Amino acid sequence: MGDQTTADKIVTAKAGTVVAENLKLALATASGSLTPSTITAMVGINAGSALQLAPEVTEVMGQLYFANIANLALWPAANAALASLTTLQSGILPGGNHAAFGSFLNQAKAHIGDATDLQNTTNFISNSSFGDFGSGITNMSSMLDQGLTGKFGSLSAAGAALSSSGSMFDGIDPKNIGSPAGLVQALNANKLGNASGVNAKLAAAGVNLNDLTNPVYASKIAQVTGSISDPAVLNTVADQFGQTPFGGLPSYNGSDSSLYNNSASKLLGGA
Amino acid sequence: MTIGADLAPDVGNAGGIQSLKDLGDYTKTANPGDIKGLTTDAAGIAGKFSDMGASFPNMGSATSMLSKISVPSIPGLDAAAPSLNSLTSGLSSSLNSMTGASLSTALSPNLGPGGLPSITDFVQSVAGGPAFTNILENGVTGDTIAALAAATSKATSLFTTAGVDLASPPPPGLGSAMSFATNLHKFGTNSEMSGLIGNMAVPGTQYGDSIKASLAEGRNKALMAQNGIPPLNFNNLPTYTGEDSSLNTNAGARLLGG
Repeated sequence: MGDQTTADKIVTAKAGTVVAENLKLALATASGSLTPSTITAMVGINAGSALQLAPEVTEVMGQLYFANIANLALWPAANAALASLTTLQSGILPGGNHAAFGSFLNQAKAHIGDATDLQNTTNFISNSSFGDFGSGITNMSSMLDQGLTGKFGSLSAAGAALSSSGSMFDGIDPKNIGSPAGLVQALNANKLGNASGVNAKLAAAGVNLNDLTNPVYASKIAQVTGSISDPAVLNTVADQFGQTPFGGLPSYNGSDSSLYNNSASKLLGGA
Repeated sequence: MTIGADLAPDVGNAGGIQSLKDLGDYTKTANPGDIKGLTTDAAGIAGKFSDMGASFPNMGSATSMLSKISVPSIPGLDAAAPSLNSLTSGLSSSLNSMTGASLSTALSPNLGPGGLPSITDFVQSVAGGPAFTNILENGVTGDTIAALAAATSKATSLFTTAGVDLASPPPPGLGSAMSFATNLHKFGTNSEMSGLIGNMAVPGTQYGDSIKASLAEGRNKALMAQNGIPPLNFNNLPTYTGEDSSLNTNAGARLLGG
């Protein structure tokens, strides 16, 4: 908090155009500026002649001072309260240094802002369960990776699974990664949808090619993509996506070897 | 040209890639040893990433991110937090002490929302507040004196809690005075602060009035800014470089940038 006063001076002196280290964001708001009014106030503040104790404060202080006239028994307590009050007042509004009051106000306001933020967050947290923040989140440890390890079991294994698909799912919505619909989207994004024969078979099966992610088509898409087993097509697709499947690709046994050597013919789906 | 079949290990066709669908199935494309420990399927991976709001430019980014995520062993923290509610409950005493909520008493309850202190709790000894109104309305009694004493004691503790050292105020000078004066615009947007500071403005003087004027100016400026109206410009105006000298001597023209 001690540095805040210095930072505050810097920001307000430059009307919020300077961002200083350790500066609170609220102080960087360019809400204050030099105007005829604030310049006059500044002179009054510097001279210690713009502010005074509020009228109700001075009135109460007078009543406390003369409390013994009405009730002598109250005097000790009133005197003690008055002494404590004046001590605090001289700290908050030191004579001849009213700018200090502005600094204390700023610091108190910042403290209240921090406390409010803290209370709002802790209230939210205390009314939440780990599971509310996502699958795989069961304790403090699992919050650190937002439940990835809890959900996947192994992050390195998940990484290996994803990388084994090569570039197939690049640019595909994450929710479709590994799904038959995502596979078809990837084929079309790489102009392989028609060449591989997938689009034609999907259309024949009644799948709307513009609505591939509709759940009603999931089983049909899986069935169609599962039915395409032409080695030349599989090799072409794997090659296009840079895949080196661990399970291997089926061997091509056709007689036209050019399919393996001619890019154009491969794009047509091989033999 | 090298193609996938040439690169793939020779494990035979049985159980390997049998169809186009298999090329999107990591259980067929990945080395089983590499995916050991994976406890979900492709839909599980996709669903989790989707729920998290992931947006990967490519799968390389996803695998790179996964390889760099670290989770240290934190058994102490896990044990302290069997639930989030129990964690915050265990910390509540410390949090209340740090915020000043624990300083609230029956004689001088904190005035902020949620039992937190307000600006009035900090500065009513100079700006007025309920402890003073109480005496004005009910007279000087044992109870009203006790309430004032409690408010004064609480305010002293609040400044300490907030880390404010009243014994070491910033020295007077241009910087601190300008800081306070220009902050009056910001304070003016807060009705509580505006009222408290306004109570302290010396009445009937240019300096006291300038405090009230600055508070109002800030509040009005904020209101007008919300409606697209910029504040008055008191910075240097651009120099006129044209040939019509009348523009330099005409105040109206100069406000237009002449």
